[in-house]
Amino acid sequence: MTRPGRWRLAIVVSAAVLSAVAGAQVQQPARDQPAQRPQFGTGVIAGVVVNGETNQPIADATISLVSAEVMAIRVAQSDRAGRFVLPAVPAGRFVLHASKPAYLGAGYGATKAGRPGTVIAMADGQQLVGLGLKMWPGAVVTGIVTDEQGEAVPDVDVQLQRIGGAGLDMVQTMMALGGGRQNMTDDRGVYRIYGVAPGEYLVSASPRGGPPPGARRLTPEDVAAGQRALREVRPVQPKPAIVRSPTSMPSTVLPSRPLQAQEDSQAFSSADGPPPGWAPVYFPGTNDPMRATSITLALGEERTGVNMKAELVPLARVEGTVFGADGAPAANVQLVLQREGAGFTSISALLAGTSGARTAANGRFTVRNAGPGQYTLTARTVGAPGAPSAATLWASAPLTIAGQNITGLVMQLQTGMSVSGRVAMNATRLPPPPNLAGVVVAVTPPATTQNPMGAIFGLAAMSLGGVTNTQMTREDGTFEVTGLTPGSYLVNGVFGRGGLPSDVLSWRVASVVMDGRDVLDLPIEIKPNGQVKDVVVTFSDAQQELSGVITDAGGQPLTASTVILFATDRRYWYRDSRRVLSARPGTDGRYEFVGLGGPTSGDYFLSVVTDLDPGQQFEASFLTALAKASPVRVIFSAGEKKTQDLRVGR
Amino acid sequence: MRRSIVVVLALGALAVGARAGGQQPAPTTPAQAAPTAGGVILGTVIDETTGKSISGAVVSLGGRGAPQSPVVVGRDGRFVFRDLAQASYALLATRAGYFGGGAGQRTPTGPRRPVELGDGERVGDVTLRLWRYGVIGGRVSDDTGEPAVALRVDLLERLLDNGQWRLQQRQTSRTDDRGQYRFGKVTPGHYVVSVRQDPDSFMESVMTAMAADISALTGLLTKLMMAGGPPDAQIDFRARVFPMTFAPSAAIAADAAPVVIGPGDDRSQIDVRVASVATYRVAGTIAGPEATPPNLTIQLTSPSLMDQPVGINLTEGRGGGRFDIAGVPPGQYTLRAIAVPRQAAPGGVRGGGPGQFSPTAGRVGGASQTYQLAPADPTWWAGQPITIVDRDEVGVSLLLRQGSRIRGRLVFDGAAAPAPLERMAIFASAVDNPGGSRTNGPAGVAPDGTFHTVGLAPGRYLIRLSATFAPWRLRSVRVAGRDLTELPIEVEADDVTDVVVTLTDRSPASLTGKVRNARGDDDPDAVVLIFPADRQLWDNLGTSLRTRSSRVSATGVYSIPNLPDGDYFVFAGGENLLADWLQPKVLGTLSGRATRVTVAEAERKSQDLTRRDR
Repeated sequence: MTRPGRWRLAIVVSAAVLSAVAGAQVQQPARDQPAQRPQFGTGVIAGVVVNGETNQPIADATISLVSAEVMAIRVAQSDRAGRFVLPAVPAGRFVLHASKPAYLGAGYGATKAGRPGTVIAMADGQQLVGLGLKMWPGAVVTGIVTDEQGEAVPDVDVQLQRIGGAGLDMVQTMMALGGGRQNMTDDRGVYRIYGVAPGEYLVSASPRGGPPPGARRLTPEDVAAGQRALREVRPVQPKPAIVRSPTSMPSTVLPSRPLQAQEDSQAFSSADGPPPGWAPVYFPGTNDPMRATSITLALGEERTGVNMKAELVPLARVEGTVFGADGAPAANVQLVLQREGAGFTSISALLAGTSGARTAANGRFTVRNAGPGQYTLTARTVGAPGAPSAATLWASAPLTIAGQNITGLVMQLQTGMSVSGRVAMNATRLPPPPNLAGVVVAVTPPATTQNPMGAIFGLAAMSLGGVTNTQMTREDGTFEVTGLTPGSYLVNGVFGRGGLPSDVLSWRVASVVMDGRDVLDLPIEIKPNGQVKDVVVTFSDAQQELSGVITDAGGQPLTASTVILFATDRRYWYRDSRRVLSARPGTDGRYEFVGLGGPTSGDYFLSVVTDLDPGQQFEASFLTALAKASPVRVIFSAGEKKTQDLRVGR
Repeated sequence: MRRSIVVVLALGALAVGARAGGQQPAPTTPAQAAPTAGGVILGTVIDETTGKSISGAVVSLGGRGAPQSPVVVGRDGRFVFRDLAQASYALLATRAGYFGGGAGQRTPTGPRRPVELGDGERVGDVTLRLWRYGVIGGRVSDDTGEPAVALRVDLLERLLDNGQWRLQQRQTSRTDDRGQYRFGKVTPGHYVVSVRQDPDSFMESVMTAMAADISALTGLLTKLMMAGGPPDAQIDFRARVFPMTFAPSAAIAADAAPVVIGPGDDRSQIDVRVASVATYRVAGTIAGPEATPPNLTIQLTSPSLMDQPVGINLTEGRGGGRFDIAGVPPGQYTLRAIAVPRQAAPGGVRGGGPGQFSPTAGRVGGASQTYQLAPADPTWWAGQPITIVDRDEVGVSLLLRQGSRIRGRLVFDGAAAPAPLERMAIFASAVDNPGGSRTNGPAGVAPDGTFHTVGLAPGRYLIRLSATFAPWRLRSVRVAGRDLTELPIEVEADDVTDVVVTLTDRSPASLTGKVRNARGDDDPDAVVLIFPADRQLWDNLGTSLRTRSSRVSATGVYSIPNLPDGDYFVFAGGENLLADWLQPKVLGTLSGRATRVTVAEAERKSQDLTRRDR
């Protein structure tokens, strides 16, 4: 599973843990609970939380101490002098974290904002006092959203998207904003987003509502004509707005003309032009995400004047007919109109820039609300729920929309490419599952600038026009992922039986064998008319682990360091590769790659660095330099758990 | 997609406006002759407060059939619709930052009335009035003057509820990094601002800490799953919190400084001073039933804090005979617990939770819905005072007691065939605690005509029919011979028995008439209030069958149907009466100048009125 996948899981897991902590929705009779109730310890952790820039104490910060190992949670707050005390701490390994609104949360031992912290190893009854915990102030972005008349637009969703090394970085966005913080403009059109990590961002605004479709802008001539109509026929009697008692109210009101005809004749500007509507706008003021300008925020900076003007644009409709491979009109075909370069946008803006439709029985479709821009229109047959979707057909066409409706489009479906094979379970310690229905095999494009969500293993991507293709495995373990367009893909899987996270944690893909070679974590090329067959996706419950202790020349734990475990094969050196791992040692010098953080089996280098920029470990030049600096070589066979102590310096 | 929903909603609103406008049912036109389309409606959109026209407003022409597309007005605020057929047209102007805008709406809360357009008629002076929203905002700072960041801010409106002033939560916001908050869409009214720290904010913080270490997180998850359920985590929670504070710095709602907002008022200097306090634990054991009821909810609340639960319940839903609430600021609270049994679910029917209807399988829709008897299992409740000063209360023994029931029978007094009993249900409406009604749903009636409610926590309740069958309607509720139709039944430690609910098939009375102003002209803006002459009945005005208000039609006609027989006061006045008339003090004043009427069963009485000011 890729790193973004782990983050997604983290969110799910956090929710599960929270419900355990808060007890929400969990109903567990007392007799069913495990007999051992954790004991409170006698250790103490105390210290001071300070601003990492100014060294001034920070009051009212929430200090959380969490241990998975011993199921302990301690929460305290810093006082005016920034001091905090966490009592009753049992022995174990703990994460210590400080948070406060408008600040960037930080773990103990983090050397800079956004850096990981170190684990605290507590002995029984240990008094660990005088700890220094640093936090850094977050940046602020603020501005006004106005309309074409310069008037404030309230209730606009304004979002920041962080840009990483290879384009938009969804993970970094979530990390930087504490789960994707958004902000709505107030009645003055003002938004203010605070607590933002330093970095480069796109700012986008997604206005809602706007004039109803078909709204017609009145001109002075319209009004004058109306006034003439009043005068010409007969003198106008001053008359109250209510001219009749309700007793004369007719029971029905008949439209004077068919509605469709009116919609066209009363359209916004030209007789045949599309109606106006809001489209997402990007700073400094464009509807085209490719022309957006990013802003770069320094640590704690307040960036004002990030203003955007929301403009009404013509929202065109795209009409056409889809024909099947047999030449007959194809009914119930799903169409998705997706904006090019949408990879730079937020999910909400992406949704706003994506429209869909289905073909009617005669193969005809209408997609509405397309603002000006470059699009790809994709058609895809949809299998009936539960039915085998072996024969997925697809068609795709680039479209340029420039304020005009597009009609008479013809799309010819063709057979999609597919990846098929079977799932194997290599059970070394757990009972093999009785059947394999529910195992999901996913064929996803690797993360690219155009497709930042490719690596996110999830349904969000699937619903947005088939970026990810997945297939639930049949009971006998066979699968066929269909409807693929030519391109580069990663094949992976998850054991999602019944949605049990324990399955996800216990069974991981150990190999993906295609034509006799293992392509797990490596992209495969799917060519036009190329069907990939006999792929074997093997899940295993055997997991590899690495741990050890880092010491300096004097034998003391070297906590100010980061351990990097990376594949010797350069083909795995890409962004978010799960064969490039990093970890920081705890206060006892111990580092771990275990559980989901454990390595895939294979050939690795192990290196230690003193500092690491976020994402730097995925850069080929960086890894090349590490590989030359005589790293330790570690080879993992399936299920192998290794220990490797490291001594740094002479 | 989103846009089309907006349109549907807008049209729906127009339709509602049109209906609300006409007080009387509209008779059909004699013949639906093909209408000629020569009508014109011309008018102006104005800001009623300044009298100036408003540009950029969208004017929609509604009514059945939605005959024309909306228009966007220019700088002069003028709009025109042409080629209109004879019809009743609901007009509505909308503009961001404004409310109101309906045709015929003359005050911020006044009714909308459609424009009646005759065949080929031209109406030249329709005024659509908009009012600017008010603004309430300010800065929240702590006792050192530093901004209090990310606190929850609630805007509470002071409203009459069942004859008493209560604060009702209207909008929620959060302070920003400068401690500032702002509510930009406030309609006229009396408001109070409260600030507090969400207990959830600490959980977020714990979550962030966990997310910071993926391996810790996954390890924890593995443990959770391997344990077959959530094991107890050992939690020690020692945070200071900002307790609920009412602007400018009051600890209880009664000491808050109210903010009065009229159209367009800007009160953006409503600053709040908060001070963090240490928090404590309230924990103990639960006694009473053999096993703790699975759906037991335990909360620490205080009426002076809007009855919002304080602290974090660490054991909620765990059972196990103990409870533990952390993060409780010093104060006086009531520790409340309640578990209402779930309605039994017969074969094939989805079981309803407490307070939910349980239609029998195979029957769909309200008209043919049948009701089950209230569950036989007991309701468990507890309520005991807890005062927190400067230390934990960890030895609390919370004794759950069984709730008492109201028991009785239905009696049909009339000639019509008795209603099918399985389609009837009665309901005990909690008078003191409007939210408390949620804990007891409709109770069905046994074949012999008897009924019992679910167990009730002590309090005052009114008996009402929650479902009946035409022509039967509630006539009276008598307990041991005493008429308690409009007076609450006191529920204490024992069941209340011998309750006789009488239904009648005779028509209720109605009262209609015309309201004129002092000069004798029809008054289209009047409001008519009717309330019982018996002052004893003024205690439960919110739920009374005998207390009603009605707006007059465009010709000043009012109509109040479905009145129980009896003696009443009826009063015609201005719209401003509606906000606060349902309190005994005001009724006392009004009764001195009201018209007294007596209606008999099935009587259709007519009574013209002259509008008076209060």
